[in-house]
Amino acid sequence: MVINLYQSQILPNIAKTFFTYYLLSMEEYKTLKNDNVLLRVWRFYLEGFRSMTLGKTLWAIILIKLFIMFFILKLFFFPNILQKDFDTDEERANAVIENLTNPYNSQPQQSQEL
Amino acid sequence: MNDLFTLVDWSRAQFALTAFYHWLFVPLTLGLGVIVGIMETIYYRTGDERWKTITKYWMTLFGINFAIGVATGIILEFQFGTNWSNYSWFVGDIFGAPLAIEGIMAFFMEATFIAVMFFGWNKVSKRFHLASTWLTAIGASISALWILVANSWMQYPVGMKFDPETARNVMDDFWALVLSPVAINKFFHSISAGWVLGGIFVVGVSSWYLLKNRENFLAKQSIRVGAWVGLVGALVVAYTGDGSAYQVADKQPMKLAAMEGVYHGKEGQELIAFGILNPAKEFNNNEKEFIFDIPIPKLLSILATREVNGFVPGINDIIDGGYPDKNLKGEEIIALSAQEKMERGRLAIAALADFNTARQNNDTTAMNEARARLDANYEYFGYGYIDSVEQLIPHVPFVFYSFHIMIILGGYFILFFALVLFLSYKEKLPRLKWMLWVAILTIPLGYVCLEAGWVVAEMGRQPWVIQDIMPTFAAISKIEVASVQTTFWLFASLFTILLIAEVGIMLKQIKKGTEKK
Repeated sequence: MVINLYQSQILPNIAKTFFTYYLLSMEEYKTLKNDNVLLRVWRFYLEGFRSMTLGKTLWAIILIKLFIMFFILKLFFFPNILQKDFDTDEERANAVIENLTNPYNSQPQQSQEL
Repeated sequence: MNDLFTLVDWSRAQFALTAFYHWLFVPLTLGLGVIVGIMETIYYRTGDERWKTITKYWMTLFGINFAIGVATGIILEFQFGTNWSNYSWFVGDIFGAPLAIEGIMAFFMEATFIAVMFFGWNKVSKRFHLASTWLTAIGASISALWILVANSWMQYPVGMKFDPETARNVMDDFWALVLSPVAINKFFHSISAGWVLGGIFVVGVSSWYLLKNRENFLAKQSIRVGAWVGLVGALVVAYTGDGSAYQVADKQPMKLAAMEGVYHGKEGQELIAFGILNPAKEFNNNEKEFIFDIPIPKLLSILATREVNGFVPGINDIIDGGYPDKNLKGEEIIALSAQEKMERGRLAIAALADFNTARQNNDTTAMNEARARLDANYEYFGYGYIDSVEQLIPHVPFVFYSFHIMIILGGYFILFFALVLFLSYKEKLPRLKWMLWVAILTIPLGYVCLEAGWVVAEMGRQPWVIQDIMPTFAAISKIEVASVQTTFWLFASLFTILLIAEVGIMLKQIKKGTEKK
């Protein structure tokens, strides 16, 4: 697939655009003519991100938030209990059946508060 | 505090905290999305550049809210696997499928077109840009649809069969799940509630500009669009709210009894327009229900049964049983008492245990016999975990007051938007400072109303995580309370920081207005 992309000039064009983008000024870059759809989409996003003002702050917030969620909370605090404790679906099913059919041995008490 | 709060309570509190914060961001995204779409449509049709400025201004505020709120709901899914593993496994693909569709279809739709919405000015055609703005708004609504389909199944479980070999509910009718009347009603109720909040937000912010004598064209035009969207939204909310109350009366009668503080039902039941509950009232004493109340005769019967003298059961009636009722298939039955349902639930649990013992022994005859017992009693499965009937009663004051706050504010919003539109078209609004202040102060009331609605829906169905099938304390994982406490405070900190960030950035942007850099 990579070879196909290379032969069809898609990868070289993306690489060329990427480096051109950083070597040329925005005005010079905009004057480049290229009808390749992928490249136009790529350029559309690059220009969009480059021209952001408030958006940069918002993207920073999104990325920090996603990092905290997926690389701290999910990784260290939120394991999937059944995936972690059992190897097969059959074992997981048996564990849940055990929990459900012996509620008074296995379930914690609920308080009468809210 | 630890003595009062057990693992179940901490897990519930953590889920509630996450959902509470998530629900601060979502409705504004839903409402502002539609409002921005309408504004850009006006720009597209008129070609007036001032409407482009207005659209871009509100689009920026939409972007701030979207960016801060996006993915806050993912944490709820983390909690399913960790805190609620029995539930997670038990619901199988019924809960997973709508959430997966939401993630794949709606989220990517939003993510794709929101880029065109923000980056595409002067780069794509006006028509394509307009389509992208609307598709972003529609994508957000479709996203909400799948979440609400999953939530509605918990309130009214349909379209599934329980597989005792895997202890999972298996979806056997996708369309019954998606087209569940509860899901359809809940979808329109929630979406239109978002329009109301969007309308309140736009009218409130615009009113601030009028008070400051700034951005006058933007403010006056935005107030009209916001108030129309808000008024239409409030009327749809009222209509679907009536439908929701009718469904709750039919499918979750205990929730309705708590919403109205009804202990002893009757034919021609009154609706409590305003009331102060008697704190000494319990289901098993003879205290009065209310210290003070303003009842409207027969209205609850009309709303709940569509008959003037229809019977609406109270909390005691539901516990005692013996009144005409319908089962999940819609068949006329005499309601079982709570004790009878608990017996049936224990039979179902025992049948599940027997089925698995027979399966391990390869005893097909015993498996079939146990399966038949399980199927016959499955609709009461969750009652088998109930120790005492008190556990079946939700926290009445919490549900009652939340419901009445929601109703009173909902009525107020209809009047508010109608008055704003009247004053706006009469060109009187900019001069009425008190009304502009009312509009600004209505913004927090919009949030209070929406959160109250969520409390009614979720607290009102306690103790059920799946109505009649699974109570919260059977759904929980056996994990350390301390770990849930730790993550509770982590979430509380993270979400509070995000909220402060949102409010700070939003206020800065509002103060800035449409001025150029």
